[in-house]
Amino acid sequence: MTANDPLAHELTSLTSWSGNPVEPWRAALNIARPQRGVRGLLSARIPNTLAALAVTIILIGLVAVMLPSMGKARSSNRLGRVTVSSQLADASVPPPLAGFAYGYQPPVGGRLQEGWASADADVPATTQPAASSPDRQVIRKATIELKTPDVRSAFLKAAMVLSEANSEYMEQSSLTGQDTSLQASLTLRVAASRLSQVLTQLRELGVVTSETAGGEDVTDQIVDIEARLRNEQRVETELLSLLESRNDAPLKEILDLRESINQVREQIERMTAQRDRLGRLVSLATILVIIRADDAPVPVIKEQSTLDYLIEQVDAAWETSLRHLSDSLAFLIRTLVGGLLWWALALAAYVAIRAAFKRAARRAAQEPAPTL
Amino acid sequence: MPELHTDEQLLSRFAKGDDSALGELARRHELHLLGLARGLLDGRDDLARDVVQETWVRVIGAAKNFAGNSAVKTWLYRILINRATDLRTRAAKLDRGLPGNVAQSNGHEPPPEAALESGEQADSLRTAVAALSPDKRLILLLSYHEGHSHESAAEVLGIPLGTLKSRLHSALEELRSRLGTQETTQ
Repeated sequence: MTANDPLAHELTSLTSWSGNPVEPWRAALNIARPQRGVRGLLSARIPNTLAALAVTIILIGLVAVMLPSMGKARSSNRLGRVTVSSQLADASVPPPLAGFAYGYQPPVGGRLQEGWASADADVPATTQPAASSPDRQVIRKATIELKTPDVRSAFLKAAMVLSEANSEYMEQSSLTGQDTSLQASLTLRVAASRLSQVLTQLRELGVVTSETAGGEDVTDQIVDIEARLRNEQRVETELLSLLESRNDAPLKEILDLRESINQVREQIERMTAQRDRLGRLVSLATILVIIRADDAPVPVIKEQSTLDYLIEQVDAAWETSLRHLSDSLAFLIRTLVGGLLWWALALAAYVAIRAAFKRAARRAAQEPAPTL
Repeated sequence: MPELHTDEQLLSRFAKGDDSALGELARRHELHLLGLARGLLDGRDDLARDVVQETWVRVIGAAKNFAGNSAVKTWLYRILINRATDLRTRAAKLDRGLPGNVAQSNGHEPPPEAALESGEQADSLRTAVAALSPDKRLILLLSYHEGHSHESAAEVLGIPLGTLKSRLHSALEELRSRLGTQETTQ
């Protein structure tokens, strides 16, 4: 069939448009324009945005789940601030230990069940600790330096703060020098639960010139010793049962077995002693008290004016804000650097999802050839 | 005179927000699309307009993601043919063919002179074409559609040129046969 073929001409005329120019593309544009405006914007932009949002949420979840060490680190930081050091110019400044509680619970027995925090019941609620861990085993140490015109009297009074009922005792004491160079030194072992109370009593003996407090967390050591102890005890039991079952064994073997049992028992005793020692250290806090003579008159504690109070509060708020800012920055750095691997994975996931979206959109835009 | 912009460039411009580019694209292809749609839908102008409008709606929606795997013109014709086929399929499912009567519902009447010259002949041809199987009808109409070479028709249908030609030959044979039968009957 050629172009001049009448049938070809007729066929061509079947698919030619002889009607009025109707421009359906304009109608289509009018139909689609609202879609392009709002829905079109949503359909074009939202999938990627949603994908990005979803990935971000997943990322945050991953960081929170996969980096629990961050949370631990923050907790450790709080515990690390147990150590307090301050130099006090005069007694008008609130003692640094007044608001501190260390989340301490004595390890064994009911004798020391009263926690340090509960001993600070008279401390304002705002200064109570944010976190406490009830199963921490901490060895407490504190040093307090006092100035008083009457060193001897203060020395005797300091010795009297001990409570024998709580097994408290004076580990060491000395009184040296004369007149203005007279100096007393005492090392007190007091129940850890009463540390705050005893320090409060000591502060009343003179003007506090220096006060430090610290804590050494020995929880891990105790847990380790106990685990090893249990293991050695298990070995001892096994060796004993072996010894009983091998009564008819040669003498040399029996002697070797007894030697092994002796070694194990020695280990057990050594570890028991270590554990008990740590237990004692934990249950009894150590306070080093140094009392010096003071010729200078005791400063008169002035009534704090509202302005001073305001300035003090602003200072405190400023310090707190800076600390929180530092914490936030540290957290940010930890999240950014510590989670670098996850960031990279999340970025890769984001890129992959975005590419998949694009591929899907392109596939959807393709029109399949008519099926014949 | 050669066109200043290719179809692809116009589509790209439209995707970026230039509605006039769509107008230019329509100026180039719309009448052809309308004509083919009319042929595929048994001469129904109103349905042809609807199908072409649907085609443009689809183009507008997917313009941004057009990947360029085929020419824009091919893409347009594929959309149109698929929409027309869908319409026929829906009508067939309802078991009543395309709605309305072909002769009565064209939306416009042919000029009296044209009707005098070719009225009966065109009707018998349209009837014979409509009686062909859908595949043959499509190949026949697309191959003789104004502005389409056999190569471009094969591309639209996604089949090799040789296949198109053999199927076209078969369709023409059947059409001639049907026209001969009609003449004999008359």
